[in-house]
Amino acid sequence: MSEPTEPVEPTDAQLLRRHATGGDRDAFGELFRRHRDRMWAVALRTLSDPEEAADALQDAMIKAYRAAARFRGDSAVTTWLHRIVVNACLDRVRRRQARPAIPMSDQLPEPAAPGADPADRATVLAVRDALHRLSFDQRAVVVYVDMLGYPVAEVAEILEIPAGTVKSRASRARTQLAALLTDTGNQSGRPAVAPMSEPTAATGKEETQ
Amino acid sequence: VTTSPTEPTGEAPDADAAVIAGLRALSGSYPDLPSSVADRLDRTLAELPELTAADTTPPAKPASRVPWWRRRFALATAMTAAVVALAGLGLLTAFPPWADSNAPSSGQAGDTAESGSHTEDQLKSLPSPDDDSGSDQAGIEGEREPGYPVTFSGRDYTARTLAEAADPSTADAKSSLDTSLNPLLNDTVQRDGCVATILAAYTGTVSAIDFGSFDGAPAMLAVIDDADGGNVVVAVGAGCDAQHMNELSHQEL
Repeated sequence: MSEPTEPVEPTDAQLLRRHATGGDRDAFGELFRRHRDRMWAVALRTLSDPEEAADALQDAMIKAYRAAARFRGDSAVTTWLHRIVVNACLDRVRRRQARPAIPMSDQLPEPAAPGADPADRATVLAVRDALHRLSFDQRAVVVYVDMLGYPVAEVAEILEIPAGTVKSRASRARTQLAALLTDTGNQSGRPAVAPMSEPTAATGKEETQ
Repeated sequence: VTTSPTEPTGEAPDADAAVIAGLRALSGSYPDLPSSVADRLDRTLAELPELTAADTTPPAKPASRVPWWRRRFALATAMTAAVVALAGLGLLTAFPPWADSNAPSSGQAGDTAESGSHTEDQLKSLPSPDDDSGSDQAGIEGEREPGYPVTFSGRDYTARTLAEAADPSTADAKSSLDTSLNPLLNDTVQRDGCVATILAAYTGTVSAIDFGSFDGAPAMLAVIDDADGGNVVVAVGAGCDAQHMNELSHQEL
């Protein structure tokens, strides 16, 4: 008797093509579900606001849905999706800047893992504040490279910039963050960036597939 | 790209190590995708309209990227041709060239038979309200509203506030808009031509149009989506038409 063969999952490109050429909404849904956890991670870390992140993710989904047929295949589908998410986040940031009267909501829960040291919590909050004082371009690079652990080459593709630019932006961003954290530390009398206990599943939790 | 990011890969100098550790700790503090957001995305996806032909047209075929006004033009051309043909048929009926002929009505070769046959061919080639589905289809599409919302916010945009054009406006200041915008407001041919000129300069599809002003000058604002999800807002003056964009400003979103 032959072994039952496991069903082969369609590739991202196949799912997108089914949607683009055959109007297969379910195929697009499956494609988006595959990647939405990671895209959420990017949006939330870039915007630091769950409501804005949810809106950006929804905007990105709608844009990808509509633009599916215009996907040229020059990059991987995931890269294309992430590019759309980053653009949606940037769009949100610009709209917020256009309306300075609307404050950014601060609904993120206190960064308190069970048993976490209060000093660690304070440091995490300081890093979060400092991160959001960076330019969007620098923040996006830091989110992908340092927070989510994406390879430089992949980030370069997503952001459509040379790999060298990714590295230099990341380097400048870290320098700026260190300076900002030093300022914070000087003001509060705490060390700028305290030695951290190893974060739990800092990036692995974004894995979906 | 199937990379599964697990660990930061950059080889950072020691000086950056503390910053990276802080960033990783921060990253770990963020919540996963909440089920409420996941449900909302599913609901939104379920409510999205089916992809239209315009949506599914690849960009490599620019002739169909600006589909509806060109279809309207094609419709006008087809209708003109139909009217001319019908007028010709009317003339043929009123003054048949075979009126004095004794030729039999069918089944015989000869000049008159050829004329009759030719007339039959003409009849067959005429668009009929019942059988010319292509023309009917074009008619339906030609009457369709443009595939984007047109609003009349009357806002006075500036370089800082151009991005707001991407937000649908509920205000209706159409009656108070500057009269120089009337051609763009009321003459769909001029507006279509203007939109085509804008799209020739900014690749993408128009997702919204708003009327107002830019730095006090009467303006039409076009929001353009590109294939990568980016947007650009273009402000054009009242003189925008099929030949001149008359751009006042633009901003990539």
